[in-house]
Amino acid sequence: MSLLNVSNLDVEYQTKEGPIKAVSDVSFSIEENERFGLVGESGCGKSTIAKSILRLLPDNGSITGGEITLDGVDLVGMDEKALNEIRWAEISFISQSAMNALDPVYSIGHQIVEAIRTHEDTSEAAAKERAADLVEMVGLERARVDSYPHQLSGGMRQRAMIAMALALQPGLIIADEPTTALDVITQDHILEEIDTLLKTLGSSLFIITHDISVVAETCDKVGVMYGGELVETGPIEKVFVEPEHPYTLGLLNAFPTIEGGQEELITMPGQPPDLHDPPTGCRFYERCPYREPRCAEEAPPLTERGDGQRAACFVSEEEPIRDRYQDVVDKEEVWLKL
Amino acid sequence: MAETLMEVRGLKKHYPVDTGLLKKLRGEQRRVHAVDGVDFDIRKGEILGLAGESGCGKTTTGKCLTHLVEVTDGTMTFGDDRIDIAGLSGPELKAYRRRAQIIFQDPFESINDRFTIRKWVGEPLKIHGIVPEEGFEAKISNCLEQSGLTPAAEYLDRFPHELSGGQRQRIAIARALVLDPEFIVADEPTSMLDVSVRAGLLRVFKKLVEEQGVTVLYISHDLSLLRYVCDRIGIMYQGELAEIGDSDAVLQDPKHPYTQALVSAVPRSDPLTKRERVRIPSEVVDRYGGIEGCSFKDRCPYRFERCEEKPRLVAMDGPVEQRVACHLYDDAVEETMDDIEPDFEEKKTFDIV
Repeated sequence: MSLLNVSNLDVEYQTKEGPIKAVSDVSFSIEENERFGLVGESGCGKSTIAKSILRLLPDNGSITGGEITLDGVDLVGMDEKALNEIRWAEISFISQSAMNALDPVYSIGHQIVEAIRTHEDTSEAAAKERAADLVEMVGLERARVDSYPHQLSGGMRQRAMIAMALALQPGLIIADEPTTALDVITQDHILEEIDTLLKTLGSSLFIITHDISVVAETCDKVGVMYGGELVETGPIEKVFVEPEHPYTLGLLNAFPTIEGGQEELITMPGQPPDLHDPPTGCRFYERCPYREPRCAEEAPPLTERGDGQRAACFVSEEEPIRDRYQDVVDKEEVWLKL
Repeated sequence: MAETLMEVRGLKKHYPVDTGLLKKLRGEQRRVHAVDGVDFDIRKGEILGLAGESGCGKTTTGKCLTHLVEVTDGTMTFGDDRIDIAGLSGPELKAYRRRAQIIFQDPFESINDRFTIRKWVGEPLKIHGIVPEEGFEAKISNCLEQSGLTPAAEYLDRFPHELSGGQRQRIAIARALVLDPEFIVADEPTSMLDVSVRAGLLRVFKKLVEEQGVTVLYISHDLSLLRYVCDRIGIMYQGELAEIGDSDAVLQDPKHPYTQALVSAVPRSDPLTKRERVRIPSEVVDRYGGIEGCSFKDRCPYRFERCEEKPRLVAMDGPVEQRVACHLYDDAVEETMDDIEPDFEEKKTFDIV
């Protein structure tokens, strides 16, 4: 049994312009000790999935279909009291902005102690000692337990949040753009620390980011989202090396790398679909250089591509997209021809 | 070698932190040395990248060069007429503003949503009292198309709020172009945009340079991105220039210990490559006043006695330009990088608490 199982998840937001289907029919699972990364551009639904798992959707959002289970226990129908028991203890959350997540009027130590004592029957002193250990573990001085969030730099706050997320050694840590606001050297330290800590604790990671290279280095598996749907998923070394969905290929083409190789970045013209009224066929149809007439009529399902890779594309099901236009696939013209 | 458009010498910008009158009178006012003695040239028709971590002074440098802030010290000699823009005011400043434009990071904050696109892009013409040869409408349309908003007629009467972030940033570029500037400072113009949109904007900048000979100072923290857009790149640290030169040389074979650490910290997108990390301490504390000696010495794994003195920028031998502010490359200093046993941060291991 998987640690986390998301199946056929649908999420809607109510807006003035009518309902938005932010997430449509998304299924994936995370095993114990596994790191799963979800990538995609703004509005693709990746953060909504994290919020759905944590049951932290805003008031206008609701899960309209599908199941989410953690260790076999249903999360969608769980009441608030039961949820509070598993939050921090079994699932914890690292958000992009630690400033918004930490309470400005309490010291870091106080907040960690509170999280520990809500879930465990420990003395104040013992919890405080553990808070100091945690703070030290994430690379801060022990004395920082007495600091308030405003006394810390952005990187230090992010570390404090990680300390808090690890306090109860949860099986699953969800991180939504955990290092996006940080400088590259700080980001590197924090990602390395998360890596070491996950190994030590044996926890799983679900990380959401727009930064492909962070996922490439941190995760075992990746999911690519487009227009509220999961269009491709599988092991990193498959999806990022031999992408089977044209959108994944487009994303990799547009992503700058420091190590060189390709000399030009290639854009994908066009815009993601309007989720008030998503198209019936493939949602990437309008922007796809490989599209065929049937792609407009029928939505392609995720199908097996070997070694655990799955993609939702009719065209690549027949032959790998890279082979199809081998000489031109990395050229801008192919994408701009549309 | 291309001609120089701007010569920056000894540029300094210090901001007072304690603005209270009492501290001012007592002379206890602390100052942040945002830019602290920077020398570099910007060549005509190039894209020069300026990179570094937050607080390194790259944005302040851009603001100095466009005269959005008064500089504390230094000269910035601009154009064929070699005017020092540091001392400009009144009509001369207005004339300079026509020639140099800045594009900001946030396309949602920097555009007035109450103006139609025609009015917003055309406004600088009105302010400067310019009547373009081809007429207002044609000029505005032209600039929109150069920014990649085609056909321009579809955009002229729309309001900015109807557009996406990428399109808004193109509007900002069009507005900068309408005055036919020689020089554009772009301060993180794509950092708020999605990757697929970003590449298109980079191409707009490249085209401007290639087709119209505009010179661009491109400020960004994203080294991978700068590799695609810049001819040369400067790396700033604590208000000073650590390294500058040909962008491939600086990014593929960094010399300054700071540049080495910075480049090694960038995650790689190819899952089949493993990178070597150069570990240095991660945080810098807020600093007031100037720094004695090398500004990087507290984090530098190669620190030695000489670092108490300020290093000068020295040129590396080689076919392309690469200059480094580190004693280890200075011929006048005996030690080289091979002579020093670097003191890298240790990788941490943990016991379960």
